[in-house]
Amino acid sequence: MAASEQYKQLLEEHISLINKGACETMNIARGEAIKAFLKYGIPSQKEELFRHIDIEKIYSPDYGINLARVSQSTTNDVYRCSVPGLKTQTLYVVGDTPQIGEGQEGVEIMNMTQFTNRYPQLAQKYYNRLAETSTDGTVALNTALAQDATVVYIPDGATMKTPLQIVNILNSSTPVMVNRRLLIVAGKNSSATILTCEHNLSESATLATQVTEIYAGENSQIEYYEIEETSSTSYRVASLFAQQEANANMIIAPISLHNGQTRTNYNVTLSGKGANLNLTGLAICDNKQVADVYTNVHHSSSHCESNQLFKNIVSDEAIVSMTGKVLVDEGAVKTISQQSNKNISMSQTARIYTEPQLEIYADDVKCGHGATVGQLDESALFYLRQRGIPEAEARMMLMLAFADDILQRIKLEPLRDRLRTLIENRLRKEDIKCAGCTMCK
Amino acid sequence: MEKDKNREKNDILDDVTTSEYKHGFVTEIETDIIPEGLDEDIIRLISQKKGEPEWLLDFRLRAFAYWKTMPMPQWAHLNIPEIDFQAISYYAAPKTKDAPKSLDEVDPEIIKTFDKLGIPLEERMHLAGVAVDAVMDSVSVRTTYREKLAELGVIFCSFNEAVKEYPDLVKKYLGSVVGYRDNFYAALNSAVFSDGSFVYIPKGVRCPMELSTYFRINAGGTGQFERTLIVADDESYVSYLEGCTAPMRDENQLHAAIVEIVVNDRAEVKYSTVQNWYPGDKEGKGGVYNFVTKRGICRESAKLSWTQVETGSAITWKYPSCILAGDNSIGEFYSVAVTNNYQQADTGTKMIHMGKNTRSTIVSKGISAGKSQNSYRGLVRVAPNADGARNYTQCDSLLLSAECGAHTFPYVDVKNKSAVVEHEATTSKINEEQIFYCNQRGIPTEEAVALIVNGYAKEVMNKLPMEFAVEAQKLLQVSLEGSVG
Repeated sequence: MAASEQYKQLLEEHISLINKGACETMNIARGEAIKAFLKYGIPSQKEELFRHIDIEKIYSPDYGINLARVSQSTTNDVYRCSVPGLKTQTLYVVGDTPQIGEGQEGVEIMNMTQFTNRYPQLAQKYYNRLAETSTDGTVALNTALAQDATVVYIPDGATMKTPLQIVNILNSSTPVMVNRRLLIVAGKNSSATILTCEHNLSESATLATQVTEIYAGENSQIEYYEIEETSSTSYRVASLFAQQEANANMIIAPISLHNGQTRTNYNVTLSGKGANLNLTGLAICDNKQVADVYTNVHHSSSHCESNQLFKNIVSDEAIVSMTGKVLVDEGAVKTISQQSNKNISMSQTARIYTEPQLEIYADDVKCGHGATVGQLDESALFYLRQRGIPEAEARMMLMLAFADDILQRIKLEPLRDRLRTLIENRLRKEDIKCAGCTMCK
Repeated sequence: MEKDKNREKNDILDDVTTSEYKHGFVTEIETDIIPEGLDEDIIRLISQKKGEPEWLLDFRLRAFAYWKTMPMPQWAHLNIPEIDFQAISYYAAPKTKDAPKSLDEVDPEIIKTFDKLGIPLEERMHLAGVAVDAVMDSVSVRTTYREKLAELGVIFCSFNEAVKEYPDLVKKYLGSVVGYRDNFYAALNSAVFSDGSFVYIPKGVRCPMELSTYFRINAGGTGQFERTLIVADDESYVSYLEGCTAPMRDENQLHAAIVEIVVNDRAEVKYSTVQNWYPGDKEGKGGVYNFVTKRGICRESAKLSWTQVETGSAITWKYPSCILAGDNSIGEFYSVAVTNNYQQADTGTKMIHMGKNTRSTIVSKGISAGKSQNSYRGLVRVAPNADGARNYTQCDSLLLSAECGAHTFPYVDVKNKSAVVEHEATTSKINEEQIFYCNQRGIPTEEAVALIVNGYAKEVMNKLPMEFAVEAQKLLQVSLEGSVG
């Protein structure tokens, strides 16, 4: 309760300052969001969907927020995040300010003010339209506090030739909170590949919240990857909302290599006939890390297919939780939906919670889910050791094989290779900083 | 002649005008019905009428005091109409007086179902609530059973009898598995429970026959708040059957039962249920609300196996659970839940692994037809000390109509690294190719569906005791009647 009060007070006292630093589109949405936040508040651990992560505790420290929009611009020399062999267009979001550079042929990358000026109707049509349906107080609070957004607009028929890499950077010596927004609007027959990298160089506790909205138009192809590589003092609460029109194809793949405490929500609605979703995630957690994932896949149209696979490797005192809901509406016939959550528990003190749920109101469907919690296969270990592979090495091989299932689903080849190395380094508890990056040195 | 005819007419008219009385208003048992409502005085009255000892009244009052502080649970995937707990009479004497005198008075719909199930005539009378004592000569059968059980030291009697004759046993185990603080309906039951069964199997005894509520003396009139307590002492075995396949008409809308089972070291209990309370009519009017708390605790190397076939009730809320407290203990749950028309079911199990090397198996088969909603809700929890715990869960749902719903809500909480927990669930429509194949061979669609459903539920049906299984199979068929085409 205390946490909710704190933010209510903040919103009351500083609303004019917040509005001053943002464009009109966001301020209009803000009004409604504040009402929603007053209604829902910060979810407590007593609520069914937040049983395994203490969101109130995450929100309760007295964070500083850059409401006055003090410039945080920086040069690309200091921050350089790259994936070897992958030519990307990089966009840095420092704190919660996107450092907008140039667009690409056919694709526009803007901040919210630019978007509102160039396409006022689109801004109104798309901003916060998916997120506003949420009953999660953290989403409303993000909308209430966010002052700028990154907007990626891919018009009808356009193709993003170079993948866009959005690098979220947080670097602060005092506790701060940043509220990021990302809006992706993909028109008919368009295609795009977007990679978000989450970095945190801060020495003190920080909270990064993010609301992402993706509109995938008819027949569009969207790949959205999310790499989390932060620190043990980082809190992150992120919600993604996506809507897929007819025959839209989407891959959403969050990979968490290192974090503090993270809650991520993925809400995807397959609203057009023949839409296809591939939602895949991997989290490697040790120490006292917490990774809590909630997915909500809503089949509201017929002939759609969704495929979810989440894997976790958990050790020490880490906690992972996966709650996945698949909802099939009445009339959404010929739905195919698969959901799977697999966990490897490496220590006595690790905690694993898995709750796959199916809610089905149509008859002609094929839906299934599975969940497993276990250890590495002893007979496979024995087989490897028989062949002269030391036990530690054999374990490593099996863990990598376990993670590889997820990597197989990543279409972007250089990224897949890069992740393979990073995962291996991570599991070997070696330095997992991306080589060659100034930021990580 | 003319006069006689007139008199006959008048008699009929009289019959019609006075008949209302026959079914309720003037009854000799009036004195044994306490007024509607629930407060401490009512509970004292219930306890007094039963001649209960002080400690049991205390237990009831404590439960009631706690119940008053609890809200009605809303978490289930059920649409429960507002229940006015003050509009229920919590104690009614056995309804011997207004029971039908012969099968002719019983609802023809029920008779039809009996025919389909192939239930013997005498049994039908008993099931339909006809006053059977004079008619049925199975009394002798029961007596034989009783003698045989007494020889082995097995106690099998009504709960009230047990309170009077074996107070130490009851006192020791009552509420030891399902405490009155457990949940809303358990608290309610603890406060007002009417009667039920008590079973005690002494050390090392293997109960030679299946115990069934049906054979128990005084089985009639256990009422809506039943309480069953089964204690299987070390190295004993018992198989217990609850309910029956025939439809049970009951005016009591609300049922809140508790079943507690204590399985001591190396003992084994097999508990089979066939539940077929009145599900309401095709429009979803009426029907029983069935809120049951069933749980057993397994000590070292003990085994508890739940098998249930749920076809009745308008609302079913039921999670037979196993607390695997002892090392090497085993819990099993096999369930078939069928919902048709407007029925709603939210059922499943909880397996709490606490001992080392504990194992549990869950097989749940849901079948939804009509406009019904059928949910599986289960929890598998592995406590930090439960090394080597193993669970396998499979829950499948079969959809027979476009308007029904099938849902799965499994919870898996693992706090031990050596645990292996697997959960698998599928939901799909009945296979049209299989129906076509049957049709081709001259089997009508309705029978084909019954055939496919029976095949689908076979894994669970096989776990039922023989005599139950045959009837249960037919029951599935009857329950789904009219759901196709």
